[in-house]
Formats: sequence, structure tokens, C-alpha cells
Amino acid sequence: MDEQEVVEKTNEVRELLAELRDECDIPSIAHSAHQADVYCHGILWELGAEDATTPELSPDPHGEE
Amino acid sequence: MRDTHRPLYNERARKSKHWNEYMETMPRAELDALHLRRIKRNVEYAYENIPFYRDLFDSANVKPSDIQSLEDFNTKVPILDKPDFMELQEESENSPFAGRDPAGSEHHLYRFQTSGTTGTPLQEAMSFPLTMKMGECWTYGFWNCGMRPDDRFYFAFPFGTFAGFWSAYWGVRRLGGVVRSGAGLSTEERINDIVDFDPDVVVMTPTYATHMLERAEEMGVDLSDTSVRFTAHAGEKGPHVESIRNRISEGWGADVFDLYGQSESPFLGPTMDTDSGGVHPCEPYFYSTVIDPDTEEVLEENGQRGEHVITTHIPGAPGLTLRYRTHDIVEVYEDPSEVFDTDITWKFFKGGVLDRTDNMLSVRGTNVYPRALEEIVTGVPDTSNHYEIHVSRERGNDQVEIRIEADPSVDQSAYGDLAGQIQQEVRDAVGVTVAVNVLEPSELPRYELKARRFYDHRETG
Repeated sequence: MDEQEVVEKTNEVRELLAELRDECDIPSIAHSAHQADVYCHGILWELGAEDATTPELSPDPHGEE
Repeated sequence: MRDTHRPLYNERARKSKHWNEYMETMPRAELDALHLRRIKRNVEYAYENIPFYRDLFDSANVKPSDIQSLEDFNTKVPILDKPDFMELQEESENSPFAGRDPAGSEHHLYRFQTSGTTGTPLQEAMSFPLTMKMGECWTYGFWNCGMRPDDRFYFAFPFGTFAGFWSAYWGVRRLGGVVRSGAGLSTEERINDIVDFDPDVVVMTPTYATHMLERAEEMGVDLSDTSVRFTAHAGEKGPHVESIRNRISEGWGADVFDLYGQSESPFLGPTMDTDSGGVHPCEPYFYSTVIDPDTEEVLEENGQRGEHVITTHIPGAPGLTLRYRTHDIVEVYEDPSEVFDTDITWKFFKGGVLDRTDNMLSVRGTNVYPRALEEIVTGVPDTSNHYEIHVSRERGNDQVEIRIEADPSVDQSAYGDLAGQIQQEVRDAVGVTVAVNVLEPSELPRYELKARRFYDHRETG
């Protein structure tokens, strides 16, 4: 898998995780979704495809900017 | 039933030479473009959200839009020093991050502080993403040194308020290695535990590595006969001093590696690479320049020596950090592949940290760095690497006294000759006369974390 494919798939995963995090009312699930997003941010960061200093500052893939 | 076992890495990943080849071999132009993009984003954020930085930029009459190149950044943004951050911390009533944390304190997961040996401790706070990224810096180094996920790591230090070795733990967690903590054990118990646990890697300060060798010898244990293949160090510059590296390597029968870090800055986390005699700054996480400490001019030619200045791309322990002077003196290679046998494109500091700008001594008009003295005295046969350098000032001159333990095999009657030999070697090498006091083995204190080697009595008289 080349770097561009990795970036595309990771962005898709982040959108799904944002939905889980924002819509699920179970703290355990919401926190796991948040932590999974941290790792996704890490993937993008290590490929130079994400410049937000922390995942919390990434543009919200689940709608609101 | 279907076999559900999944390996941690596929075969190609496991055989990879690099932890992240894409980033570690990125051409310099692309790396610099990435640095500029991340810097511009952080400058804009800092100016809009952090009063400390807005005031700094305004006082220099600089706006974020003025930063359109790395040269703009290096010439227009003022350099910061530790007192700037200490002042900010005091204004913020000792709150960690002191207003420079973009994520907000609800994300803080750990609280640490610096040792405070040079003043009030600097408070540090870390979020989950930061722990992951701090660990990642170690992992780049672990992988490049040949450590792999099936290796077993022994931690021979206490977990306390000092962040340094916690990040090593986060690094092993990222790698996927096995952790064994000897935190609550005595030195003797740790030695026995190492014999029983069969670790591949032991993580500890260089000073403690030699202390363990002494204790092991007393216990009749030969640590070079154990399973240990690597020793990984941080906190002191020992592994880059040849005589100390050789003592650790021979005593443990292991390859010796170093990680260059500094707790006042978020983290440097360069890769450990003592094979080629230096370290690479971990470029995905910070932008590194080397300046002339007097003129602040950026030095870009291979082999130039100057002071390391860092800019962090993510908020580390004290938050977003722009152009922070480390006071570390390094010899920089902007393109190491031109000089060394490496395909890593990241900058390279040959010899690691050579010394500190704030440690320089002036002995009868001659500038002397303690690191030079350390290399000389620990290289003299029949000495140990347990030593202290004391500096005082008399009539405007720095006076230096070296206290060093003799090797246990040396008879006390020979201490005078040994002191004379050390004095002569220092005089031959750096042209100054220092006082030398040879001590018996175990007279100087032993340390589990950073050893105190340098005592500056000049300010207190």
C-alpha cells in the first residue's frame, strides 16, 4: 500500500471514529474512539499529511469546523 | 477452527531497516517544506491564542504573515531562553503549559517536573497524544539500533516525577516490546532480576550502568555473560565519551546507545546512533537549527559547531515552543549522507552534545569546557568514571579541581603519581593547570538517575 492510499484510508477511518465519538453516549466507547483517533492522527503525522499539533485541533471530520 | 493469530507486523514491516523509511529518508527540500508548513501553522496559532507569544511577536514587530520561509522564521522571531518560560510559569501561578497548551488541560494525563537543579522546577503536563509521540521518538531510535518487538526491556530506574524515562517506557509500548520494571528493587535485586528475566535491553543512566557493574562484580556476577545485548541511555552524555562507552560496552557485553533529550524543551527524542558517533534530531517533531551563540547567525555548513535551538511542532512538556535555546553545543551536519555511511536524511550531531554554553570555564584566559576535561580524565588508565569537577573563582579566574576515584586495583601509594599524570594530560591537551584529587573507590556518591558531576561554586563564592 503506498503512502497516498494510507492517508485516504486513515481519513475515512477518522470520519467513522468521529461519528462514534460524538454520537455514542457510552463513555467507554467514546473514549476508545477518541484514543483510536489519536493513533490515526499519528499515522497522518508520520507521513507528513497532518499538521494539526494535536488531534484535538484537527478539522472536525464529522461536520462542524 | 480458523487460526486467528495475527502477527504484530507483517514480514516486510518486520524486516524494514527503518521504523519509518518514508520520513527518515525524506529529501531535505521536502523535510524543510514540511517544517515550514508546521511552523507557519503553529506561529499563527500561537499569535492568535497565546498572549505570551503575541507579546513576543509584537515586541519584535513581527506578524505571522511575515513568516514565509525558514529564513524569515530564523531571522525575525526572537530566541527564547529558559528564564522566559520560568517567568511565564510564575505569572500563571505554576500552572503547567502556562497558557501555551492548545489542547486544554482536560486532556492532561500526566504531571511531571524538571529536577530544579538550576532553579524552580519547570512544571510539565502531558496528554495521551503526547505520550504516544514522545514514545515514538524513542522507537525511531530503538528500531535503528536493531531492537525489535520480540525484545525484552529491563528498566533499571525508579519511575518518579522526572519525565525522561517514562518516555522510554512509552517508546517500548509503541515498539511492542516486553517491559520489566525494576523500579522498586535495590541494585542487588535488579542484578539478580536481570539474570533471571533474560532481557535483551537494559534502560538506565550511564552512571548507573557502571555502578551496576561494580555491584555485580562484588556479587560474583559477570554481566557480560547475561542475555543483555543493548544498553540504552539518556539523562547524561556518557555514551559519547569514549572511555565511558567502552567501560559500559565491555562490562555488559553489549552495544551502547544514547538518546539526546532535554526536559526543559518538550522533547528532542533524536534517534540513537552511536555507531556513527552521534545523534539525529527527530525531525517530524521539531525543527532544529544550530546558531553562533554570540551572533545568533544560523550555521548551515557541515561540521560547524554552535548552539542548538529548537522549535517544536507539537506541544510538548512546557507547551508550544518556538526558537528555544538549549545551551547545548553540537557539531551539525545538515546533510549527513555526504559525510557518513547513512541513508537517514535528518540532521546529524556528531558526538552528541559536546558541551553546554553555560558551563564554559575561563581558566587564566583559556576557555575550557567540562566535557573536554571529562574525556581526558576518564581516559587516563587506572581511573574510574566516577568523578566530580568543582569550579570556583579567585581573583577573576576560574579555578578547577577534579576529584576522581582510582580504579580498585590501584594501590593508595600510587594516588599521588596518578594525580600528577592526570594533571599533566589536562595541561598537554587544553593548556591549563587544574588541581587533581584522587580518591578511593566508592568515596563519591552513586546515582540511579542523573549523576551530578559539575559543581559551580562561582556564584555562591
